[in-house]
Amino acid sequence: MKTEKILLAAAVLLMTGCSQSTEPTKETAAETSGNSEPVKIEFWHSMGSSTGELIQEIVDEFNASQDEVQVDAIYQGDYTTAGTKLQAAVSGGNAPEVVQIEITRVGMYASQGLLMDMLPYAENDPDFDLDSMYPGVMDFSYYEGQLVSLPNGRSVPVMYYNADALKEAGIEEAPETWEDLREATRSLTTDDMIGFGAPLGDSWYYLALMLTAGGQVYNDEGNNIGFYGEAGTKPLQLWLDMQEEGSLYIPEGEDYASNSALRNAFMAGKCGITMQSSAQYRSLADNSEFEVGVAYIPKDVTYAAIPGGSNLVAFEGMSEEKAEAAWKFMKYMCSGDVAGKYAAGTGYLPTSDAALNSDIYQEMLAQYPYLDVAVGQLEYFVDMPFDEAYTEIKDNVIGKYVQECIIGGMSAEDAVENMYQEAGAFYQ
Amino acid sequence: MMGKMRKGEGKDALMGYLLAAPAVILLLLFTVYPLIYLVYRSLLGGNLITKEPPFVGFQNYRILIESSDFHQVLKNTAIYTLITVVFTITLAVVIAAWLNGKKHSRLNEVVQTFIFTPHIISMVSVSTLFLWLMDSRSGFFNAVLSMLGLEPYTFLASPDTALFSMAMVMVWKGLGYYVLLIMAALQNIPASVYEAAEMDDTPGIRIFFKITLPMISPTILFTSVVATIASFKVFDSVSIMTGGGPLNSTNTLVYYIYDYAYRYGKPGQACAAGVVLLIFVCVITYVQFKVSRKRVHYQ
Repeated sequence: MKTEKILLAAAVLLMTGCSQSTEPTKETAAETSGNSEPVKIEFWHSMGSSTGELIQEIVDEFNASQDEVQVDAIYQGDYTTAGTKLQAAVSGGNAPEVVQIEITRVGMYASQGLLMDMLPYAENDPDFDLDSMYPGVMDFSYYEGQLVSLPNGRSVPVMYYNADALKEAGIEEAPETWEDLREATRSLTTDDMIGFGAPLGDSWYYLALMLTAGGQVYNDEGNNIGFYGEAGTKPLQLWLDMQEEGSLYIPEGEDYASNSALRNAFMAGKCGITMQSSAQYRSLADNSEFEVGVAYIPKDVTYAAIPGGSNLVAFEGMSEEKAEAAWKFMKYMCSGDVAGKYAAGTGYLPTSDAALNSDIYQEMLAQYPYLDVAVGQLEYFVDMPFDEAYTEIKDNVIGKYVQECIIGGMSAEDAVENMYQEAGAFYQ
Repeated sequence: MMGKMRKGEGKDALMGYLLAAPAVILLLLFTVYPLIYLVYRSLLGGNLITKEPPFVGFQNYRILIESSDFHQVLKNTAIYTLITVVFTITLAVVIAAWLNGKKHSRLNEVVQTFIFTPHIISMVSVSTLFLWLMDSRSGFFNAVLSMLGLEPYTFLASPDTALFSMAMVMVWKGLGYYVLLIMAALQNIPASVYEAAEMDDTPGIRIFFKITLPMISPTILFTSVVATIASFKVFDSVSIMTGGGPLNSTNTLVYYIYDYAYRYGKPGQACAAGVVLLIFVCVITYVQFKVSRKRVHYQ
């Protein structure tokens, strides 16, 4: 008797378990029921705090502006965390429709044929002009002739300085060269303030300085670092020299955590000059009690800018209806007024003349005179190939030896030598 | 008669299998299958989204063996485990013995409550809290140290002190739980044993080492095995407090696995490291049981 009951219960459990999976979900039912319901798509992004609110605002405006597409914006953590979640989702077959992806990670998905080719849409859409986008920000958009991503929150590293402190120290102009920078950090350093905040946790900034010393990210053959030699050692030596005279502030933590620690120190007036993404401008300016100045990364021999930030991608394999919806949303995000609004609210680069000349951007520029400093760096953008090994080399080889040198006491020459040896091993 | 019994037995056996089935199925599905897949995946290349990852044999293991970072990670994990287990168990025994001596005082209750509280707070909150407390420039600890006229300590900022600081957080968080377990063991020691010792005028310290410790040794063994495995698997505090830095000095095995699986997109290498973790945990548990079989006193 008892056995029968248990068997029965098990059978019921099994049956209900099975029947659930065969039942059509609400979403697919809505899709097939006609055009009355808007097409729902998910949009994953990596923007927290005030930038995240801005994205939500833009998405809300998009949803209100038409009734065909309903976008659900979801914050998935910083680029590293969001990258993790996306990989897990994609490998499980649950990729969202539209994703804001950190540019150096675009190649990984494109090489597996996972990204939707937007070229047919871009070419056939009368409202969209691909040529209006700045060439500089289209660097991660084409993969083997396919249009796999569109520029969204694109940034460059810039130098931020405490303009009040600089003035007090008797320096009128923002440092332009490494020598100026050395002098400024020296005179800014007091008991309360350390001259230069070094973004050690994120080697993007080391690479930015290295470029101005005449190096390249990759060598000509594309099989190792392109700064084996002086270009590689000079930025390290610059920081070592600052450290020796006590004008180098080193934040705690790794990766993006160290960046936010550094920004907090800068806003609190603990360090006078630092390097951060141009996207941080509005946040830094609004939260500091002093005037925040922005300038190009000081140059050693040349100006150069390393691209950064994120692009929008859509995933291959969705229904025609959803692909159409995804395109509509991405087109909206790239349109002059929206891209202008996004750039104006953050410090990200306007991606086209239409964005730069949009009313909202120009209005904001009147209030925040340093907003468009980063735009000038567009012409110095260096080429970066799609490279799957980049993230690991950037963090685990370059980043590691930058720290070994500045914190661990390794000589600049040995650090670059090690970078060269270990990075080379990836391409054998 | 016989036939009837056999029939009954058969029914009982079926019942037994049926009752065991859910547990066995779950075990197969969520423990055995992932284990086999872990070993299999460690022999493949590609990243998480590669459609057909190529078979690479033992190449992932070779990379691990040759990587100085991985050696450092193993060393960190071993040191971290040693520090946390030794500190946690020693402190737990001492505190439990002390509390046990004041069984009915008000102090006992207060101390127990305070010491147990960290155990129920999530590691994420604890890590965030200590990140602030241990900040080398503006943290609370260094503010106290400088008020006392002492040199500030570098805590998480220096590769020399970061791992130890992390271990102390784990000790602080876990201590209450282990004190509770050991106190339960202490209270199980029959009073007659102590009375006998008292009659012989045995000094307190001798009672502790010759009676108390041997009597609670099974619990000490159990707690040290649990604490060892827990510290081997440390992840959240590393992820939040240091991200493995500075200079890889707080990178531990599980964090390394996560980094390679997701951040660097090399699940094969991550799985190979996972197999290494599995082997280590098995070996350590086995050795702990084997060695202590002779030294542990079961009543």
